[in-house]
Amino acid sequence: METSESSGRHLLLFLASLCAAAVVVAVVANDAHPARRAPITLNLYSYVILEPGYDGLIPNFEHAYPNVAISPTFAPTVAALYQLTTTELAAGNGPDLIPTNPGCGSPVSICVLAKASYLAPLLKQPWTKWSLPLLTSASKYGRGLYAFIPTVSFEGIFTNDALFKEFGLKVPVTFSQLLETCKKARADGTIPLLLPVEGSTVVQHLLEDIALTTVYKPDRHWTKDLKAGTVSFGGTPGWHAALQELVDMDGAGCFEPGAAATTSAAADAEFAQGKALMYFNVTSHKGTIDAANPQFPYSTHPFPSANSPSGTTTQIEAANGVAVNAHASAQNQVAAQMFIDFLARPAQDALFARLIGSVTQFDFLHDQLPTYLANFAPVVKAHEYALNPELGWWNPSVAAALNQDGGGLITGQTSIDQVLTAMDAAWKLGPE
Amino acid sequence: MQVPWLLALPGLLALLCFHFLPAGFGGYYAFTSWNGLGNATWVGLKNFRAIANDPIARGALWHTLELAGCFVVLVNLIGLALAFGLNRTVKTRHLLRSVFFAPVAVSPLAIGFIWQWIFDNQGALNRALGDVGLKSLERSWLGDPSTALWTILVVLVWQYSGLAMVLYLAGLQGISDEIYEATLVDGASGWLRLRKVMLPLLAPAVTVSATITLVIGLRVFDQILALTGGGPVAASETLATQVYKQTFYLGRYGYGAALALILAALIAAVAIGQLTLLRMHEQRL
Repeated sequence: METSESSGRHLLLFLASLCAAAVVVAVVANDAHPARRAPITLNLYSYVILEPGYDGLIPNFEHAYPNVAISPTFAPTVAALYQLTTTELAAGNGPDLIPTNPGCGSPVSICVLAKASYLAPLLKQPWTKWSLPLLTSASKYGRGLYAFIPTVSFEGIFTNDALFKEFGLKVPVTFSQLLETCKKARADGTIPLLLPVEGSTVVQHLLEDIALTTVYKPDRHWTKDLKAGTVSFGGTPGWHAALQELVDMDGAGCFEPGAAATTSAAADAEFAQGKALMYFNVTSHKGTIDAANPQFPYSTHPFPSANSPSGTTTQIEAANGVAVNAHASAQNQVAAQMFIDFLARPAQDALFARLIGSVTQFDFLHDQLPTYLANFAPVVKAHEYALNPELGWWNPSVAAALNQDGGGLITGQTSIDQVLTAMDAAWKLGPE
Repeated sequence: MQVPWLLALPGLLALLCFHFLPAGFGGYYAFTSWNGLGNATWVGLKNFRAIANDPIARGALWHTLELAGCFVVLVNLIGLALAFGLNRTVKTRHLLRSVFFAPVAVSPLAIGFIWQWIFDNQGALNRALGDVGLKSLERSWLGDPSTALWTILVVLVWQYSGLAMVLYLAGLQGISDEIYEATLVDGASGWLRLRKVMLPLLAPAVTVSATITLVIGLRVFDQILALTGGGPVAASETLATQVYKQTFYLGRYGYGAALALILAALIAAVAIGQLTLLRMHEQRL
């Protein structure tokens, strides 16, 4: 009996020691993490390609403001980001720093979130002085300004410098040169142009990029006419021409077999491994390509959608804005505003832009492009650029139809008329 | 008399709050236009009319039925074959049963991502085919609209055959040895024994397995999302993936809720119908 009693006491002592050790470990871990030490912790949601930028920026902010910690969450896909953000906002526990896009073309657009009163107006915005006016106006809803767009990226082609040299090719500057380059690269046994179709909006961006030359360059007010009901996607020859270019690229063998199953992440990795001559995507993929292969020699160029070197209009991407949650506590809203103001400081913004392969609005306005975007300097100087057209479309289904059915032009599942009919049908669903 | 009800009350409340109420709200939102953030506007049957006129939604319904139908047949045939093979005679049957059942226990999303790597253009399958001189059979398994859905079917059958095997094994274990020995004494051939004795006695197991696998097949989502995302160009979209895309990617919560309601009604109707037919068949036997 004594033996069993003493065994029981030993067991209790052992369990008590385990519990105490667990408490000590938890306290130490808690103490070690700055986010848990700071009085204010701000939750930030963003898209994974911006992670390199925030990884560089957040420590600087926390050093400057030790009482505020940032807890970032990076969604792996755009769909996951939309899901996370809208679900949590509706449930009342949305992030303090909300990812948002200018215009109305996505479920987290400024016009959608501001209309539902989820965004707090940004106050005392000194950074509007060095912002692109068209981006500032796209970040407004009514009279309030609701988001800061930290960077501007270009839609273009990443080019494998080593392969171009090996094949004795020059980077194409016209559309017909692009088709010739594709044929030669295909004959040499390499993937001419990587185009991730699955789970991404790259097809949509490529077609929008081409449409800026074939539709919006001849008629800069085309979207206004569309809203007035005087034009349609199917009735506009420029849209037919834009989609025909994609068909021509497919016919020239530009795309790898099975492009329809290639994701953006896979394409980043494939390009960084030197498996393709060119890769169409937004320049902010620089961060992920560099992470995959820091020594890989590549450059970025405008996508040649016209048949003269100066005829192309290049799309600039201005998604990935950040806004303040109007339902966060007053203290957190103030801290979130501080974070946005910090991000908008020229040096911090420049760091952020460099880490993700983009350019700040300030540098863009002053024609000061970083070396990795030097080939876009003529575009900026000549003002041959425009924002992605979807920002002006009044619901996200139009862009979704362009992306999905546009991909069908490569797989042979859809025709040009079917794509444009789907876009018109989506347009008729009306505003969000 | 009141005490049992009082004891059951917390559980009933939890069931109401976390199961029936959300389902009820979902049903309500199916008749509204709602972007998930503002107020929902009642629109009656507008969402259902839009679904009927949407070729992608119609295609998703057809793919759902195709996938579920083929899945139920294949997984039950393979599961039954595995159950017969691993019922008695094989010495390593316990190990093999675990091996075949293991995929059932793994996360469907993880399974999807692993098989995505295998079926990739430059994945293990195409490389293996090239290495053994069958380069002509190489395909873009996930990027070709004619093979995408069937590739998903292969993954589903691979993952869930073990589940059917376990259900049939349980059924076989329930058949008395004397019946088996009696058929041997009577000189029945293997085929006759299977058709006239074993299969009729397995009817309850067939009912259970067919019903469970039908529900799994109709609501499959994770594997499709990981393998193809519903592509290429909606070639492998099902009602479940369309619910996700319409709701969270396009912000059409009302439309997505209407699709979800249709999916729920389809699962209920098909599962109950199948269960009723199989039970009637059992009783006849």
